Amino acid sequence: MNDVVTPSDLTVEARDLSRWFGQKVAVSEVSCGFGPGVTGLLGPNGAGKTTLLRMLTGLVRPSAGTVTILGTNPRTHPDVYAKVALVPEDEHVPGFLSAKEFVRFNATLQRLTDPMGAALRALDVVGLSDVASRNLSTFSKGMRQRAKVASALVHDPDIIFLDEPLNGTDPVQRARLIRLFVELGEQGKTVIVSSHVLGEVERMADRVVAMVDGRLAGVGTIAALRNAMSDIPRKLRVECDRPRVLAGALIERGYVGGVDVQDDALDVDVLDSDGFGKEIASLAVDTGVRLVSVEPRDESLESTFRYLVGGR
Amino acid sequence: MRSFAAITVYTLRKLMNRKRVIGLILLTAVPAAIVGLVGRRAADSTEVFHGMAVGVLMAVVLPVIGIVNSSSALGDERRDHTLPYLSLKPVARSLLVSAALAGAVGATLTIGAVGVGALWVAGGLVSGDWSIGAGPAIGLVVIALGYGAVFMPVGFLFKRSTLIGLLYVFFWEAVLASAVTSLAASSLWRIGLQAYAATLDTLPRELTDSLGNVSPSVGSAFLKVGVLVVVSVGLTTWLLRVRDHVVGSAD
Repeated sequence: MNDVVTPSDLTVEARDLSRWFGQKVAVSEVSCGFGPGVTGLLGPNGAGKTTLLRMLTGLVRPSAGTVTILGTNPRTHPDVYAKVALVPEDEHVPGFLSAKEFVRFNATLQRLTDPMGAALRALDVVGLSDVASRNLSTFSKGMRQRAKVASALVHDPDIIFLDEPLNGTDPVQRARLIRLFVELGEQGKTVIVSSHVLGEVERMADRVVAMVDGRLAGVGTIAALRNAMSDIPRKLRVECDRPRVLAGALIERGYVGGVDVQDDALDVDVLDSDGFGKEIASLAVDTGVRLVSVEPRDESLESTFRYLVGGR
Repeated sequence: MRSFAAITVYTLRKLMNRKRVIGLILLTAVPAAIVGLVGRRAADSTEVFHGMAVGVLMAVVLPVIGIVNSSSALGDERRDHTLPYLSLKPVARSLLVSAALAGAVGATLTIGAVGVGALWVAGGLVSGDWSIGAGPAIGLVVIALGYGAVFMPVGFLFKRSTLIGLLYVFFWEAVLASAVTSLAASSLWRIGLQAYAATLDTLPRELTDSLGNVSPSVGSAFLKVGVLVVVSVGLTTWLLRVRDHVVGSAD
């Protein structure tokens, strides 16, 4: 079990969770646990985050393994949904409902005593009060996201699953939602936010569950993930007129681990990113090399996670 | 009870969207239009009425409306990925399914009532007999329940559930069950016709031909669709437990 909290605090648990669709394995033998606070579910597109969230919430049946929320299986005990909320990634919403009706609908199904009052308060939290009577079909993607968040929070759930909740939101709303999620975490709620953007997760979560290719790539704090990433050799392409000369100088200074010299460029594995960044220009001047460009060859989050997975 | 009503109204509103309703209402008006046009000139206008009520309204129009509505009730929610807004709630699965079925049946009744009403007015005007509307009205209720019960789980399971339903109506019911008398009992609209026929003192030939080996009886018709409704709710509740609530793989 890869827990990001102590076992006694666990509210959501996945054990040996797998899901395959025909020949495609979407999630493979994932075991992890979640507890109070904001946890980022991080991974590149296609990593299996949405499938994992769907299994955790009971939307999708695992091919193998078990899920428990507050100690029960959500698929067989729907009562647990009184304490759970999901903001799905899908853009689809019941477009024939107004935002007010949409949120009130959830409030009614959650058996709140004043569904309309709760709906209006939730819409105010996400800044949609002014357009509460407009049909969701007329909403932009960002507005729909906020309506989904309002609907999810209307019953003050203890466990909140957010699947790419910031998609389509403008910077102001993004900041507002991030603040909201952080506050929910600080209130002791279990908030699980999936994203493929590390910077986004970093602003909300201090714990991360990282996934790649349907497998768990890493579990821990953002700082630990950062440390792991800083150990990864960065692959850069340096275009210049005398690559062989520059390669020699770089190796001599110990900035690079591997060098592949080509006609008008060299591909390098940088060991010391800071030193390399500071010195490359002066090194080029000192050796009489004319630099054309320095560009990353492989700096995507996906490659980072692949490295983490490969290193395990 | 509030949850049941909320889901029923939600389903009803989803199914009663303007485009769909206009299309289906135009379809339901066809039998009434034909009765209005040819009924006065016919030797027996009541015969024309029953011919249209049975041969077109009950055998084709109402089944199509029932299939379209019931297969969309939960099936479209699942395929559109909006089912989580219904299913991830502290609501018993059987209540969710019953409410969705009530919404689908309600939509079929609402749209079908326009066709039945129009046919009743047209038939009454051309024949002068205003009691002839009772048969199609009771048939509508039975058909809405019957097709709703059968095609809600079919819609949950199959993407092309409407096509499956149309094949059932136009091949199984219209061809096979018409040709082989013993298969008449497997035809859903004939259960409606069973109730329809029970409202008449004497059965026109169109009705006896279509009924096959099924005897007129309102009670028997409602008993059959009642069983179908119970089985449907049980089956769809079980499907919600064992199947995914969204269709297709994702990230």
